[in-house]
Amino acid sequence: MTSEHNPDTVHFVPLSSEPGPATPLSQDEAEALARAVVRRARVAAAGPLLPRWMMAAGVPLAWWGAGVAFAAVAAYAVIALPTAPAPSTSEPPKRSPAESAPSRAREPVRAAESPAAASTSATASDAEAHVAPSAETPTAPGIEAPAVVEPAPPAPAPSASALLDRANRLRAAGEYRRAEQLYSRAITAGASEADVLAAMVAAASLRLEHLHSPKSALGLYERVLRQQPEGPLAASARYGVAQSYRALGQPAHEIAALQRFLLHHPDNLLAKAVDDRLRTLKSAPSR
Amino acid sequence: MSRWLRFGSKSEPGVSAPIDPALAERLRAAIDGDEEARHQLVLDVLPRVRNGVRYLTSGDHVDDVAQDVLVTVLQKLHTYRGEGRFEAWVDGITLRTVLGRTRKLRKDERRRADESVDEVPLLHGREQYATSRQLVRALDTLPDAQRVPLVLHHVYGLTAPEIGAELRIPQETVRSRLKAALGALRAQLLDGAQPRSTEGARPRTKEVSHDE
Repeated sequence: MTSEHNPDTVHFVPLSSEPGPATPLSQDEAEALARAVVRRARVAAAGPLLPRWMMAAGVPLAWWGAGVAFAAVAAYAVIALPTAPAPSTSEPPKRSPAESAPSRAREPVRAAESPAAASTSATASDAEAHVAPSAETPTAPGIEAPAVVEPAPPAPAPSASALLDRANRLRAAGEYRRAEQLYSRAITAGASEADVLAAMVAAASLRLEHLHSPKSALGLYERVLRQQPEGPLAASARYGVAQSYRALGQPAHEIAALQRFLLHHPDNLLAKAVDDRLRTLKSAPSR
Repeated sequence: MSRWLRFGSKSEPGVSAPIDPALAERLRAAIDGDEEARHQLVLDVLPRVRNGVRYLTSGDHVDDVAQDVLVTVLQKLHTYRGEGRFEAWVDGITLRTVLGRTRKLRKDERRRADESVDEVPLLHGREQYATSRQLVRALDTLPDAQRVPLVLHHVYGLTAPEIGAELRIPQETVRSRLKAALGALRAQLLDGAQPRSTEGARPRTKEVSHDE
């Protein structure tokens, strides 16, 4: 950079995609970063955003809340899907007779491979028989792995992503109670944190808006905030808390919740509506 | 926004090259929400964005800032009208994001680069890479008030008035900072703290005389 011929010059390497000055990333690192970017953009696009015309038209606050929660859950469901094993890219190898012995030996023999269990599995509507290869030491080529005698497992439960997906469709069809049941199942399905939080917000929204259970909705929203106070669903959850208090007829708590919303999410599209509601509450004569 | 579109095209004044059909196709798909196209688009511009961010900031936050830039790129993709090079448009977003962040972090204690100094030039064996690495390490020693105008001028090709408008400082201040920054940079480089460039092919670099 300092010229060896002229010390009064400095060489600036033009900006390009060639390595430098940033240390290059490995292909895996670049792929991971790109995936993160695409996800973040997706969340931002489908997050708690409502069309400005709705704001201008004065759509009731409760409808906004429902829309926000639904959009957030839909976004999370979409995000969660790629993390589930995708049949087209990460399907486990087919179990054909021609399959090589070493690769078979890497997987424990599943009871589902027995004819009886296989038929059970095949009839399960939600079957997603993805079995991750185990890290067991492979046996020598050509040597059949000893059969692991295990009790036949129950038919595979649908994944949390599948549950969320089905629940979203039920909700869209107006079947709120069944949708709420599926969201609740997803919460306890041992899913990823993202799935669980999305399911909690969705279930809470249904309980609040359609199932007349604001107290249990409040509990779920608060759980979401305890788990991820600054996560992508935090705005929905804080707004839900305020709405729950409103439904419970507790204006003091509602005011506090609205203030917390504005403190944490001053740029959220709901901020103006929340501010308006706050003014209304504060100007109302105390009971 | 039009001014931002010119970034990176200083060496090609007035050029409005027709957009590469493959890129146009990818952009269209990305705008339509095609996840694979968006992913590929990010991968395409990622190295350049990271390089730009590294020029403007120390190494600590490169990937964080690059992520922010790339998210904004995807969000604003529909506003790109093909009136300039796509890379230049991305450069504009890079600059805006970094400068916005720099303003926020202005009071923070400046942290130095955490990158490995020795392994990378050997790993890549490119003199241009080594040169740029030496340069940013020297840039890391400058205060942002000097570093940012210097990079905007010599890497992104902005003029003093443009830099002044962007940084909200008079252009006379920009010029004095550029001069001071170049002097400090040269002194830093001549200090002998950095290893000398290897003999051989000269890197593709832009040479800037001290009194520019």
